[in-house]
Amino acid sequence: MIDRIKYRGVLTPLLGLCFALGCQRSEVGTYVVPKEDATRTLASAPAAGGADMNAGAGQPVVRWTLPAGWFERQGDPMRVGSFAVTNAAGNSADVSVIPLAGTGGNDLGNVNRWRGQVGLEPITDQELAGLWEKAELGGLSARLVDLVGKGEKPESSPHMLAAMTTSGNTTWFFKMVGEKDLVAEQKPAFLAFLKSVQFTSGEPAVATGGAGALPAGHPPLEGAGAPTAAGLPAGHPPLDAGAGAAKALAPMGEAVSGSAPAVGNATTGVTLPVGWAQQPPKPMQSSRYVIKDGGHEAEVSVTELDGDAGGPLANVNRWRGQIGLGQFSQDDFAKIATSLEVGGTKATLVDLVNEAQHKRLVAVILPREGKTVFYKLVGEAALAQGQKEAFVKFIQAAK
Amino acid sequence: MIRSVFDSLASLKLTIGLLCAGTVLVFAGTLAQVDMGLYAAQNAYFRSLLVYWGPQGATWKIPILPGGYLVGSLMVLNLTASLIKTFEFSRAHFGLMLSHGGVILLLIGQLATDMLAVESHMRLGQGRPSNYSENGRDNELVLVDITDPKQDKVVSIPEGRLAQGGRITDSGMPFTLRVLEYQRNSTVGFQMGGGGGSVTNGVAAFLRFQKEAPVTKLEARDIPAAAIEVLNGEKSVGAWWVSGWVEEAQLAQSIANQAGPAVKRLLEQPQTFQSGGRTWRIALRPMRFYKPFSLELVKFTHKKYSGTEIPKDFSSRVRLRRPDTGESREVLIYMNNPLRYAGETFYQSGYDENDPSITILQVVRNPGWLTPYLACGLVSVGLVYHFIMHLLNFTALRRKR
Amino acid sequence: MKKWIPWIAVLVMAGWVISTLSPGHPSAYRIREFGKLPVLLNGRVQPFDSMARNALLQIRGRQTVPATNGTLSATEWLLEAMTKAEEADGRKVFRVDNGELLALLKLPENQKYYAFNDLTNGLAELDREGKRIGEIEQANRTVFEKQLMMLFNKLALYHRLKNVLQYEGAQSFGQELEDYVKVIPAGVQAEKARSENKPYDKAAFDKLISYLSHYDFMNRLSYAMILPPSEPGQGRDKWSGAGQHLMDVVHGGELHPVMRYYANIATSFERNDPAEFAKSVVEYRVWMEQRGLTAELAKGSREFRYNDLQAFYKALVIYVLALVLACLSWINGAETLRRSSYYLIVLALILHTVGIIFRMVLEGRPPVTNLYSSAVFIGWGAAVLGLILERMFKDGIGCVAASAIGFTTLIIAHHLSLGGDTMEMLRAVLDTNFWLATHVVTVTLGYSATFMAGFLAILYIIRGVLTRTLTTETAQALTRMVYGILCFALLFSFVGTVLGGIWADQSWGRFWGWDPKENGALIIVLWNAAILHARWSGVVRERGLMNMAIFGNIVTSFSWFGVNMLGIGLHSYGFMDAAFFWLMAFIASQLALIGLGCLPLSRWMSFRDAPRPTP
Repeated sequence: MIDRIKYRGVLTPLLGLCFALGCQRSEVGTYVVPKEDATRTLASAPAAGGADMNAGAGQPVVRWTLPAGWFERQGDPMRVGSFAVTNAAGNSADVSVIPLAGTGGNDLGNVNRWRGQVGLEPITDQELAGLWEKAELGGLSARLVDLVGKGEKPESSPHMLAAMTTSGNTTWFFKMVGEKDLVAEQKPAFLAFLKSVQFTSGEPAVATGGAGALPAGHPPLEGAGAPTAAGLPAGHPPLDAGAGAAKALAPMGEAVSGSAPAVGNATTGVTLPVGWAQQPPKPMQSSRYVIKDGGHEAEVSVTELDGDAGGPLANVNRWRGQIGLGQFSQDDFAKIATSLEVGGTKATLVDLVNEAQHKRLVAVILPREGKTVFYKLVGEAALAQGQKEAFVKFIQAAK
Repeated sequence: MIRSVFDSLASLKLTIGLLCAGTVLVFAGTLAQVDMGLYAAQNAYFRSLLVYWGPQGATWKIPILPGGYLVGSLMVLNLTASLIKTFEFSRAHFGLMLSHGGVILLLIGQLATDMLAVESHMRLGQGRPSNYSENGRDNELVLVDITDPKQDKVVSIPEGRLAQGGRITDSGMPFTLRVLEYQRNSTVGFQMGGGGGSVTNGVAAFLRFQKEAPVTKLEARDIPAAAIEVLNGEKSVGAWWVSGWVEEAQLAQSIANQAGPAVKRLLEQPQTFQSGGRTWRIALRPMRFYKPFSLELVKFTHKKYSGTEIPKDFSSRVRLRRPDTGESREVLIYMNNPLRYAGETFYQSGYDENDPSITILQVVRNPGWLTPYLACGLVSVGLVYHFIMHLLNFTALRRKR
Repeated sequence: MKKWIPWIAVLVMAGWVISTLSPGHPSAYRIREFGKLPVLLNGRVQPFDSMARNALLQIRGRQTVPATNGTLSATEWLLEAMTKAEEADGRKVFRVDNGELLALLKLPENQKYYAFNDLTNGLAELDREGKRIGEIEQANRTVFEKQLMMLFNKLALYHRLKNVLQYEGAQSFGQELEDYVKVIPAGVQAEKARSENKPYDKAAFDKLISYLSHYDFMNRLSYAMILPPSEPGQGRDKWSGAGQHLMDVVHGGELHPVMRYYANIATSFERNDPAEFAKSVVEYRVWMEQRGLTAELAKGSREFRYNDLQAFYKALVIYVLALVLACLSWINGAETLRRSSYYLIVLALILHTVGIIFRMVLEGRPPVTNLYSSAVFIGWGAAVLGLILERMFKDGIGCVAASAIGFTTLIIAHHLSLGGDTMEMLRAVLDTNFWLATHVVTVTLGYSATFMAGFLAILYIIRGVLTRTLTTETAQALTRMVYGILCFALLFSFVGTVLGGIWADQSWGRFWGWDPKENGALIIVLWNAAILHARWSGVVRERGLMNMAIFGNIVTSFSWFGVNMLGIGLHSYGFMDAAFFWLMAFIASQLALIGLGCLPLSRWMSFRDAPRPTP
């Protein structure tokens, strides 16, 4: 009897505990917290372009434009970029971007390795010469192979596109592997993707390729010890660079001493003129820079709008209004508008001055496919005039 | 009848059976971790009543092993029953009684820990105070009333509820939610102008989310996405895609890096809507645990052994601020030296490889933390006592020879 | 006379141990002194001797290299590789076993070891294959691929070793350094002028460039940091590699004085000038003492002595001898043999203990820090238990158990040491604290005891089934031993596991995480408890107890070794492929023994005629 009580007395609370606690898991909760600002600023100049949460330290600085239908995925540490493409039939292709040090091995070796991966026999050097296609990658010329392999079923053969190019100390491999038809269909997108790649300033730190004990940058075992030809080893900075502060293998692009430090602007991939400081853009702007000189200030802004955004005259008149000037007619506009060559396209340049208020506005209207880009330099008249040349150069250098 | 059930519960044969079953279960669970990942295997083998198995691709499963909860609770019952049955105050038995009592306490304590403990982490960047910690594995859908300039009212819906689908109502929300789609793990891609489908608000205008298989590696985690429709009665206020891809700064940054400035700007803004004269924000994010105090990283030190990548020591100097009591002091948190405050413990857990000004603290709330210590003490004392008694008997016997 | 034999045996072995400690013929080169010089490698200060031995173990699997006139010590080989690469390239140090690999490299199949020169034809192949395999996840590689990667890594290591003191192929390095320092100002000027498209001194420029490209190469291959901090006050761990330093000199730094000493050492070894060599070694030591770096010097000397002692190898030999004697004592019943075995085990255990304590002093850590040291410690624990049993029962069983487990674990430890440095630094979270130190020691002792119980059970089964020697008295003695040791094992493994949980709770707030290593320890506790409960309840008797104890061997080997092969969780350090095969073989053998033990008692040789004891 007493045992029975003891027995029940132990069991029931235990079970009750389990129930009570178990049910707490999926309940909706409400609470109050101090105000949080949910907006944030995302950097437009990434330190590690195209990286995802698996980005390792020192990722190479590279950017690209993803074609439609390509999905970003979590890649492995060796890859700088990792994407997937699927089609309606449920097939998918995998795209990878991998940088490797030096020459990345010899071409024949690489191609035969890829051939092996899709089930093809290796080829000889002579056969290789005929296999290469030319492609444009990041402004450099690249080599591409298009391999259709042998799978278990003839309908689902593996298909690989592999492109490689060397930039500085690094060889870049862009590969797409997937089902035969899907990859064939995606080849134009792949080529467009390659074209959209930008290598920006900064020497990429390089994946070690998982090659066991070889440290990063280790030359291949067979090529041991041959001193480089006349000239500093690749990537070596000038010898008198700074009072011992520069690291011996610092990237070539860094000017360590000198009067006008050039800061790489990775948005446009060009050098910012001296004195221009990048600022967070205002609504509707894509980028904004502020120039200050001896108490005077000017601002450069870049805005993209769809279509022709109302036409040049309407915009010019709007700007005239902004600096306190009267409206133009079409003829007045035609008189002051000048033409400017920007990357093969004709752009329109206007220079508007309000002498009384010492305000100047220089604007460039650049039509692009389906859009119009407006570059505006506005501020104190003398300062803006002084910056006009740099402004034009900046626009022409931007992509 | 009760007597015979009780007797079976108290039987030594049951004990042996449970111990053997436990051995097999832990072994199987350890092997399963290779394929399923630590977390999934834990849930399947140890946090369950039964372990199921079904052939690849089939929809049916059969139970093949008792799960951790079943073995554990049977052990507690068995031990308790046998203790009650054989209870007597004698020197010979004292040691064993004590040990077994300790084991009961250990098992119950671990069960309580499993149910009650909450683990989360805090990512602190230098100079940016934070008053919440996050759980990387569980996410929540939040509807935040941001109308009030001084505070936000948060309605938090656990991810598990989203997985169930259907409609969600709560007294905290004047509207109903309908789950259009839920993805435990997702990938994201660009589809300018909308990816087709009915949802086109906010980020859905240029992002498309696709289902992906859940991760199994230890270091990786799932990034969920869901399409949620907000209904006022039967009228639709709008529908949005919410996801960790959009909500977490690093992931949003990686999308922004590849898109134009227009996309970047849209990603910088939260997704909001109006309902009943109030402004609400909707988001899917790692589950947050807010605290009445904030921690701010003052300095993070990270030393490695010279010439290697092996961490030598890392420590975080943080400032603790509590607005309602005015408390403000600096604390040093480093390996094996956590901060214990307000019922939670903050451990130096890790760091960000890419950003040396960030520290990661592990935050643990575990009301049952004392039980293993007490249990260990009881069991050790009991076993040592028993062992010594045995040894004394043994040597006395040998001396007699 | 008979009673002196055990003492004589001990004296002979002790004499052998001591004799191997003396340096033999004093080498004119003071190689030993060079071997004591410290470098910073793997994050810790260690002597050249350790670096040489570990590298040679990785490459050759041995700590010496056979030569025409004797053997080269590891340090001698290293010096040769660092300064006389052409000669070193001819030494047969690379071990290649895999047939496919030999075919790929076009090597003759009748040898075990190959020289670097033999491999040069295949370097291009290796390079290419190495890159290809490097992209495949380890779990998916074939045996051939794994073997190739191992050889690839060995070659890479060798390559890096050759560039520690000077770049490969350097001649008269000391002179070159002086030239280098002299040409720097002119060369820097020339480079500046050249970059500004002005006329420049081409000779100075070319010379500087050629030096720099060599030093850059040295720097990229950098393996050990040989130059101690010239201002120890500003940080004792600021060592630098030779290549790195030489690159820095061009930016206006002073040439490190130690660089000159090493350059001289290299050149004098290359030119066979022992006097110069010795002089520079001594001068360097004096320089370090003057700068207050005596702790580093002392560490170098101490570790050198540890390496020299080879305590575990010697203990292993003595254990084997003791095992043979103990087994013989069973066969002919001679008390002398048993006592000799006992005394020899004591000697071996002393060496074993000295080795462990030495390691603790060198590392500043508890005795168990990684798999290698856990193997050593398990052997130690088992030996101690065995000696205690022998003292109590005096029937040779304790001796056999102690020596057998002692020497097996030391062999396992030796194979683990082939992977490299066994005293590597541990991650911050494993910093010593009370809970961690007590946890590892207790849990490892628990493993020791479980193995010991299992071994005794094996003796029971083998002696019972295959011989007539399992008398009632022996059977009872063995049963009591197994039972007592299992109690001890349960206590220690339980307490050890809980201590581990407490340490985890203190370190990251989670007492139990279902990590594979934690699970392994838990399985041992559960199984030991199951055995004891089964015995108490009468579900099993003597024979069942023994079988369950043998199964305990399987459980413990999985928990100790097997979990490392799963490669997941917080406890996964290192992969072992050959070990997997041996683990499976061991498990199979234990299952076979259990099978043997399950034979009906009437078939047991010991129970056939004599009245059967309670089964």
